[in-house]
Amino acid sequence: MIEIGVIDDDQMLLQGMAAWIGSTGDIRLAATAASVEEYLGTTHIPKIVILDLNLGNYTDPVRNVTQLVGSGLQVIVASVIPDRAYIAATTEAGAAAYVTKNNNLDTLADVIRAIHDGKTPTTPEHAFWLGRDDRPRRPKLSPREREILVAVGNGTPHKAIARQLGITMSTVQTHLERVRYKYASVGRPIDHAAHYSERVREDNLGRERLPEPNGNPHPDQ
Amino acid sequence: MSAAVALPGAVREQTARSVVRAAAFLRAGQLVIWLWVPVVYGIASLPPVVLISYLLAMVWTAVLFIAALRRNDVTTRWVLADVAVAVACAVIVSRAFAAGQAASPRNWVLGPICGVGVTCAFFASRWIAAWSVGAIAIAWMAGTWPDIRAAAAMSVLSGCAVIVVFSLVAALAARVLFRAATQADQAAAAALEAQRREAMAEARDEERRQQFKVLHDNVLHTLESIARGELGIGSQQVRETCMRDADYLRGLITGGADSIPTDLGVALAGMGRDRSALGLRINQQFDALPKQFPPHVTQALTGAAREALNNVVKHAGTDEAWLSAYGDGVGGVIVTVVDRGHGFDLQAKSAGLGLMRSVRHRVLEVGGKVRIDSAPGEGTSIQMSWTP
Repeated sequence: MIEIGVIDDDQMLLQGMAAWIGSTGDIRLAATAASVEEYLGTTHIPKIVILDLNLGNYTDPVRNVTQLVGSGLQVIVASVIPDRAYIAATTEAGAAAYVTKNNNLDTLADVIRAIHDGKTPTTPEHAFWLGRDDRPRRPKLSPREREILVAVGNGTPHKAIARQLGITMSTVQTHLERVRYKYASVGRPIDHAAHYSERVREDNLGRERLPEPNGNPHPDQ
Repeated sequence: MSAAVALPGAVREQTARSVVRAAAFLRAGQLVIWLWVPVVYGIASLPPVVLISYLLAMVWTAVLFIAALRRNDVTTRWVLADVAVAVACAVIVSRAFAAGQAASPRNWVLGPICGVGVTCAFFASRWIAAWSVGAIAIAWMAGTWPDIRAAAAMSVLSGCAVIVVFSLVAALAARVLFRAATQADQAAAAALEAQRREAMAEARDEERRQQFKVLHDNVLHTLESIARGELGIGSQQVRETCMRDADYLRGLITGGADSIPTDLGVALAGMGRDRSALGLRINQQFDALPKQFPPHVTQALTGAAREALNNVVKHAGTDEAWLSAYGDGVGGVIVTVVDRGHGFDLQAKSAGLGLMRSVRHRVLEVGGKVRIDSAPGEGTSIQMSWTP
């Protein structure tokens, strides 16, 4: 049985999620929380966690991922609306996978199982948005890596990509893993707060964030 | 929109007409004013060459300016012919006079050849005008050269100076006039362009409002039906409807480069929504679609994608497909429809015949490209691309 946790501020989603995940038979939703702090504060912390990209408490997605990864967890980033810059930045921060919330259960379950097996699965939507990454300081991908990323992003099955390029399926997988490795090791570690605001400046995410709920301006501004 | 904007080029044309008229009046005046000479001195006192050339010059001038007024311009060819006539007259007529009379008011050529210099300055390019005026001045000097020794040297030289100064002033005036006219025309063109852009933006906004109306009608209808309790949210059908609406909204929101819905994104998302109703689960991914896109290409690509998705429903034996579209950054787009169903053998004769016909045709017709890839058991991917 694979145990997972979910961090989402949407109660409706959290409620539906338990039954939904439970129907797989081999995956169990063991913990839910509305924020990263709350999740890390629970007594039993499942190692695989699905994190909402845009939590309602205005916390920064990149820092949320960094915090969870720093605690030794494997993070699946999920979002309703794909946000190119944040998908790329959370991938760099060490997220294991990205999924959209409209994914069907089979896809999500496959992603969870792959992560449980120690893999870094790249879903089509993840590949699509990494392929659309246009930040000036994005990792340098080889033409072949880009080609494969774009094909996976279009939904092309690995088998078809392998045939088109005259390579084996495991080579396709290797290229994808190399892409993910390049993202994870751009040489831009985030191990304390100062690094974080540095990265945000580098990425120039161009995001005006709302003030914290207590009325104070956001700490990074 | 009632602002009357002059047609671009109108002011320049008007200026050209005025300048041609002014040149014509000037020349006519310069010729006619000489008529007092035969009246006062008597025709007999003038060499016949002088009279005959005068009449011929009148005829030539009439021909020249009738042509010029008709086309609103004196072309270089006409200018050069005019200069040739002036040079010939300046020499031949002046030499016909007795010494001391060539550089006097009895000679009719000085006025008209000044006029020729002015015409050059108005209508010829800078260098042609300079050389022509120089040639006229030299011809005048050559024609009246005997008078230099006949104590009329001042008249010879002042005639020369008059030719050059007249032409210079005319050149400057023409430059100022035409520059002002060009500027006025540019301003008019800019104003017209602005009007056109504004009208286009209005039309686009109107279209977008229409699209949003359609969008909201669909999604709002679903939500309101649920809210009123008309639809039980547990039913499979309602869940599917909600999922379709959600995909549609997502497609709209993510289509544009800056999250502003584009015509193509709206068209593709709407088409995807309709295809979903056939039981196909469509993963839509749109990004950076161009804001301004030819409507007929939007229609063609959307139609082709619809046919491709229909093909998935009919032949692929799967209930899931991927519809992706993104801008290439230079005004073009790439649209792909991918499924992981049966696929087919590209080499087989009858295979994909329907695809070729329905998808390829639409895209090729608007100048786009189609790439179809498939193999048994590996699904089918259709890539359509269009660049301006």
